Amino acid sequence: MSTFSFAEATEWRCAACDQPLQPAKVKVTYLNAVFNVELMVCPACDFILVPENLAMGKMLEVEQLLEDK
Amino acid sequence: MWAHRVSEKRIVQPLYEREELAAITGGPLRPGGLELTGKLLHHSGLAPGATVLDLGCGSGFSLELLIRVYRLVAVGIDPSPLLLAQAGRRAPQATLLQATAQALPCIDGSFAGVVCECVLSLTGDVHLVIREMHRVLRSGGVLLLSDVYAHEKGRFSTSPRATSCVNSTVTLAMMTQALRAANFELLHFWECTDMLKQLAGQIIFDYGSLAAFWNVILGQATGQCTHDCTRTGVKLGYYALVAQKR
Amino acid sequence: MDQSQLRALEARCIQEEMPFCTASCPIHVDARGLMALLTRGELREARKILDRTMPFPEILGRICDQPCHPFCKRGEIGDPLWIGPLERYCVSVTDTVLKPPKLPVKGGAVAVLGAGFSGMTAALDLSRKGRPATLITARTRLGGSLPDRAGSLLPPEVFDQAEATLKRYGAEIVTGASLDRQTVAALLDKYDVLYFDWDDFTIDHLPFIPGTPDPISLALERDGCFGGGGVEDGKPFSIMHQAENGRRAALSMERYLQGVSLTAEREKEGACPTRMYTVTEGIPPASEIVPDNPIAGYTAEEAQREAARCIYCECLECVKKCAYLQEYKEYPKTLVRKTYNNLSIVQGNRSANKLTNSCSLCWQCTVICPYDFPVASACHAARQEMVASGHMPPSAHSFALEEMHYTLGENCALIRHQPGTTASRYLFFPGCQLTGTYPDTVERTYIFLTQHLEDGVGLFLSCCGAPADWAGQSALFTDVLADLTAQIRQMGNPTLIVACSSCLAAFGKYAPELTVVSLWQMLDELPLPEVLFDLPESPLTVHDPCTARYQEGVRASVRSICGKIGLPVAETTIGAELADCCGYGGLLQFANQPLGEKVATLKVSRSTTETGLVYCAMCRENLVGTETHIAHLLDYLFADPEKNPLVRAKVGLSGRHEHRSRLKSRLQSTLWQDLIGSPAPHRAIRLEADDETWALLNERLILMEDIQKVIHHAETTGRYLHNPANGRRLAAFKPVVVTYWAEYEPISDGYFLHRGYSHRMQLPEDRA
Repeated sequence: MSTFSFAEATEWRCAACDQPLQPAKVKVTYLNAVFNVELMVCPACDFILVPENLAMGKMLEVEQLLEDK
Repeated sequence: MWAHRVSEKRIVQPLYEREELAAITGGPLRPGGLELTGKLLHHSGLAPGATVLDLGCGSGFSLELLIRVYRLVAVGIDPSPLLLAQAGRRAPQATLLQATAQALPCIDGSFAGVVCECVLSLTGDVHLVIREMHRVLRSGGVLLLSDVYAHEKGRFSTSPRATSCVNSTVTLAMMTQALRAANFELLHFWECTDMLKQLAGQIIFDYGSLAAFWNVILGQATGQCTHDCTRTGVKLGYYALVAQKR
Repeated sequence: MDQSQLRALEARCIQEEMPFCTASCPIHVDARGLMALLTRGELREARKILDRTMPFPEILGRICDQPCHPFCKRGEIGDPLWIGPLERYCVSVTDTVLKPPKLPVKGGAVAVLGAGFSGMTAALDLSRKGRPATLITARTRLGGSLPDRAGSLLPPEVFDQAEATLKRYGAEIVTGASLDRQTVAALLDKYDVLYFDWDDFTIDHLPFIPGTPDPISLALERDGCFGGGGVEDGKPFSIMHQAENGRRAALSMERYLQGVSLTAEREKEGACPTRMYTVTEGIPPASEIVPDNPIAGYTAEEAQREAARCIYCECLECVKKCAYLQEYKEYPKTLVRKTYNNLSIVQGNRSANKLTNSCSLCWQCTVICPYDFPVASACHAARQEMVASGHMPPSAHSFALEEMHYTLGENCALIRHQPGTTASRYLFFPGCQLTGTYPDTVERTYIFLTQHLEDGVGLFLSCCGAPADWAGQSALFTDVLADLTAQIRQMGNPTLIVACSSCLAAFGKYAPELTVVSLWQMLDELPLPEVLFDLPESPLTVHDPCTARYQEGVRASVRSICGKIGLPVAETTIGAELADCCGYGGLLQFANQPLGEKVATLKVSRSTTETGLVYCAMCRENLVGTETHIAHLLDYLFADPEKNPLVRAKVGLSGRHEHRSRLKSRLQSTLWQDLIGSPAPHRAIRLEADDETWALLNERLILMEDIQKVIHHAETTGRYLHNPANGRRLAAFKPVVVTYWAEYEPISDGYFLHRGYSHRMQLPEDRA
């Protein structure tokens, strides 16, 4: 089983820098917890892409886990 | 030949034996990581040169810490030859033994300290292992323990597999009683469920599901049924403590 | 709430009280359980029930005089159950199944003089407790007067069985004893504690004056002596009475040997009252089954049919009505227990947070409960504690609280005297949800009031703070109320005319110094406007809001107004003080969306006609659906005649959010001719989207204004992602805590929105 990465190939490009996005390790935080997630990021200006399926999927799951709902 | 291939299929490598796991989380795969180990050692009163047993040492992350940072003489015990091989590479100065926690190949009173992290609930017989750890500690020796606990006794054990995981994950009350009954005195106690949640969150991100998380912490077979149990209401937490042999 | 307060609260729930049969049974046999098992033909399990409680079931079960019979609730709708004959059936077709354990022998020499049934019972109970009794009778056999009284009803082997049972528990049996004053005096010296069974022991043989036995302990004048059994004055012989006395005496004797109080806490012994409450309405009546052969008793088939008439008395009245209790499968006692256990978890998983946050706080259960159990109080107090200790999950209520802040802020809030006046006798307070849903109707209502009331009607657009109260945010709620009341005072303490029952309830409870009146009661006293619609001919079912539960005057005014304008109405199957919540109460629908929907469906289902009428804006928003046509009463009085009140579309979160600010700016410029400053630039952004997209945003609690902020931020900073294949853009913005994302593309006069989503997890501001 390989790592479940959210850094998948994407057609989105950074408009300001006119650059394709690259995978990068990002620290996301919520309440008292910090997580390392790999996301697509603009190498020039650090714009981080959080795709919808991640935001409404794993992220939401972890948010609720931390909130103890 | 056919029989051999059937048995090959049956060998499922536990998640926690894979090196990639350690790489992703940057250390041992347990709540609190080496930071929690350090906290336990800080409160242990163990002096450099003391002999310590790491019970369930896995691939040797804690052994490395015990030896290099805390300058202890360390012995590691684990039932998995694969993990012991990795431990040998990570902590070459440690003495390594392949054994199970229920029957430690050590003489009475041979250790100043026993470290047992996130392993006790996997052994299946908490009371027996506590007695073994007591036996191998010298008088006044310390037990540094961390593990999962259940909020209430599970009530869903209909399948034989379910029995083993729900029964071996004890409540805090049962744990402290078991320690007292085995003549341990509790010196320090920390509630660490936040660390469990942190690790759970990281594993959801890295492995896509909570079921995978339970597989890692409790082993493949118990993992799936724990996942089923927690979905139906048995909530788990995490604790760490320092106890002393009376 | 401390433990003792918690216990007191839990005790108000009577679900676990004894049913009427068990309570009236002197030894509290679980007759209800017995009926269930006999109905299912599970005879072994049925016998266990008797083995558990009855002394010598083979005897008592056969001749039980069923003092429970007149109390059986089935008697209200048919004939009471023949519990005695059913017990007889059970013991005659089964052998002993359960043998209660014997406790280790303790000290104390115990004698029982007289082996009637009460003596036998006392000897058995004491021997089981580890105090082996010596049972002494002058007769040659056990049973006292039983064999003569019961005749063939008691086959001789039952006494052999009883003797074996007694011996198994270590009792010693002495028959043919010579009992007179002298021999008894010797026994008094030999034994520590003695029981005299009047059915089998002559009182003349007592060497002391017994006196009247103490009613609770059965103690006689002489220390260590107890007496019972026999026949009570003016009553027929009752074997149950023998059993009760024997059991009572055994407990007294045990306590005597332990040296503790003989009388303390013995209220539940013997037949006792019960607070059980059972509603028999709706249960079809059923007559008794009489055995074909009364001497032989019930056959298997007859017994099964008779037992099946049991109605299984329990309460659960509130659970029968409340979707929340049904969802969590709790009744108030267990629910409060779970809620408070959750609070006491200092660290670790608090798995009952959602349970606590899913109550509507609507008090329906309290009205239903014969003991007024206040589930809402418990959940509300628990929420306050969760907030105070920092354990309230943020996402449960944050959306509703942010909306409340917005409503209280400068974009939406307005407090003014009637245009052209400087004093207000009245102040119209439409409330935040009505303003958000029907701003045009609010405007017309206000103008109507100014035309019909003297001395000035001011307008106060605000929020009463109920969302903060429901969320357990007591400090915040106090601040909001303090601010409101200060503003009202500054206006000269006018009488508040409130449109919303929640506001009315909140002010009534927390700001009693204000003079507050309901808009409905006000309108009922004014000449009503001409209705410009074709009123429907078939009646509309009136759905009262849950917050009008204790407002009979409001409910009556609403019906009166309908009558005056000729709007035909009908009542719900359960309404008025029993009205369900629509899902908004207690912020239920924000904390638990799926349950909110179930609750709304249940409320609608109480309808008795095809169409409905509400007078609360949130009720309308929640109850309206594709199949359900529901009108708001104000629409019939004041709305735009072009819009049929029954089919006005749902407004939704974003719509309500927009309407509040737009109403303020509109009224400021039209009624008060204020100069309005320019709105924030992002609000000028024109957005288009499919209906599915708006519905998705609504479900995700994302406002149109949030999307406008994202796009504004993206377009002004140039920070967005771009897809060259389709020209779409993707951008994010975090106004406060939540990060919103929008996938959109520029169109000729604005933007077309394709997707919108959000998350609470925070991204790093700078490079990690």
